[in-house]
Amino acid sequence: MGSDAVLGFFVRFGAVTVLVMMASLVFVLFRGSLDSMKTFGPKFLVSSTWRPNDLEVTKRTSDGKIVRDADGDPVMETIPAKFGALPAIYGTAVSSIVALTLAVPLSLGAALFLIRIAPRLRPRLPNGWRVPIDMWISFLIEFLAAIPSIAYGMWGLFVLVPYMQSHLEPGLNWIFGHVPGLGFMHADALTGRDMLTGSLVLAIMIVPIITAVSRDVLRAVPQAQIEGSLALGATWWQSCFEMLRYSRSGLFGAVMLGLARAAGETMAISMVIGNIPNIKATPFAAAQTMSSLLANEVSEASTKLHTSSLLQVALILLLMSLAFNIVARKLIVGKGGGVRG
Amino acid sequence: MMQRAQTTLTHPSDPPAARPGPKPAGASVNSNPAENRAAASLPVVLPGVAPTDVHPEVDAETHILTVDNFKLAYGKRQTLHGINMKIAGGKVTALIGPSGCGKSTLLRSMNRLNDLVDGVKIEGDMRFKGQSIYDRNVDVIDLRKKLGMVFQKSNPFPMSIFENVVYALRIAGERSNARLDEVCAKSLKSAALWEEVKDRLHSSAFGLSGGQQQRLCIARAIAAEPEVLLMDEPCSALDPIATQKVEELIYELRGKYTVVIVTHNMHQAARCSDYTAFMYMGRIIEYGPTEAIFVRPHLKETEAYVTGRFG
Ligand SMILES: Nc1ncnc2c1ncn2[C@@H]1O[C@H](COP(=O)(O)OP(=O)(O)OP(=O)(O)O)[C@@H](O)[C@H]1O
Ligand SMILES: [Mg+2]
Repeated sequence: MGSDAVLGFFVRFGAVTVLVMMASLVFVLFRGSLDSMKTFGPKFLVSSTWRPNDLEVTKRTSDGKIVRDADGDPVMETIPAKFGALPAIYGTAVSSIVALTLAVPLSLGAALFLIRIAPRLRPRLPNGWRVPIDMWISFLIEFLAAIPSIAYGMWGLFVLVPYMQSHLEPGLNWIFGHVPGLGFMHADALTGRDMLTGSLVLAIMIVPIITAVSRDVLRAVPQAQIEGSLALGATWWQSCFEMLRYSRSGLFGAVMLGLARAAGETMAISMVIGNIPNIKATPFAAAQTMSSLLANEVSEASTKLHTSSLLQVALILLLMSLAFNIVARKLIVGKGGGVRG
Repeated sequence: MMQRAQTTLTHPSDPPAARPGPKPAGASVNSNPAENRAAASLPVVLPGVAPTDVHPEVDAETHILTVDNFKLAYGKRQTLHGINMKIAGGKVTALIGPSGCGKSTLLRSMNRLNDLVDGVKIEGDMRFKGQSIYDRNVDVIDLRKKLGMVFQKSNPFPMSIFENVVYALRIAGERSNARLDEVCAKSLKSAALWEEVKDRLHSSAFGLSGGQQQRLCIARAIAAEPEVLLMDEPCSALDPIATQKVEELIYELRGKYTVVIVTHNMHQAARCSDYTAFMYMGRIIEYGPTEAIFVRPHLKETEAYVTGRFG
């Protein structure tokens, strides 16, 4: 009976608390979304209508004629509110994938730089001290990973959106309009608040985390592997490739962490993506992600069904992020860089 | 023995500028207590003072690799003090000496792997078939293909056995499958591994035993068709049976390849090398035919080391 027992109790208490919180979160979301599940069933996942309010419209016959009553006034009918999550799921998937495509090469390049070049680039000051720029860069990257996402969002809104609208997008749009085969991505109007800008902001936000994790993964590659390939006549680049191959499963984990962050990101993306439930081929159309949908509507949901549908979206998002994180952990920790023994 | 050593030792890590040649006895005092302790077990003389004792048989050979007054420092730490050495083509040359004397450093310098280490300072040169190794214009990639290396700890790549063996060809852009197959089989046969792995060429190299992995690394080095094989304690992590196999292999490779092997195992050096160089504290003390080094060395310190009286 001593500090051991007390400590043991706290450790167990902590672990159990986390589990209970997790389980109650899933339970609450699940119970809350029962209404929506009953009403829409699996169609919720594939329908692209998101109409929170009932609609009063004139009744028409099947050939399009307006139905009139005895006095000649049009007959009105009510179309009930309808919810489908497809545009939000699509928006989350596309913006995350585009963000990864942009961020992964950049992050891996940065991580390789930090491991293989930066440590040797320590300029010597006149008094003999060496400037550890690799440590500075590492610090900055970790700092970037810790910046609150609202800051990225505001930067995106005030800097990136105007720039995209006036510079980058007109150029790209011109290319899409003139290169045969790319016409489907051409847009008539450019707002700057669209899928492309959203993906770009996501990419910028996930570069630090992917870089930081891959740097640690690459650092664990044994020197013997690098020297082994060099001794066989590999070029510097080929030996870098060897490092990537050696730690491929850890790197995949880093990418999954980035994906989890991109898919779950809320504040920044809801400020720049436009928030319209669209499924469009052009990257210049406003779109919506699951998290931006939630951020926009949760506080104003008035009907039970609306709230329930939002909770179901949240449940989908939670399960998805959970899956990404579990896979990522398994890859990074479980296999320690990808080699047995 | 111990007391004598302390009174007669010269500080071996003089500033890099120190020239070989006689020095007044006692002129330098060993200021580093750690080195002092390490050195205390050597029963004799002044390694910096006497030039390397090279037996005449060495000079009579045709040399493929020459080391010319080669000096290397890791930062401020002078590790090799003006090495001169000629390595006979087609023969097996062993490097022996106590731990930390610079054997690996010398070996790794031969295919310029030390270039990678941060803060290395190199003076002097080496020549491979008359061509400078450290010249600015040398194609290091090409050089490393000609001087293959086998490391102390086997380091197969995380790929199949086949891909490991043909790695050097792959990175050189070889496409022909027939050629890859042929080189793979030939190299594995040369490394005495073919019979054991021919049915599972496409399974992971990590599934092999330690000894098999080391022979795989030898096969991988052979596949690049080097002229010289540099081996750094290739058997230190292996059991006696695997060691014997690798030793037999080294014996087989003689003639086809020039082998330079670092070993801590005196019996191994005696069994499989033609020439042996004894290194101590960054210098080569004595260099001659293996039999002479082990049976009738010229210097007392060599004798002391090979008979296991220190080191
Ligand atoms: N990368 C490095 N950076 C700094 N010092 C090093 C480095 N590699 C080796 N040294 C130092 O150089 C000296 C010689 O090392 P080396 O590895 O060549 O010795 P060795 O004769 O191969 O020893 P062993 O038999 O233990 O392998 C040692 O004092 C070692 O600490
Ligand atoms: Mg060594």
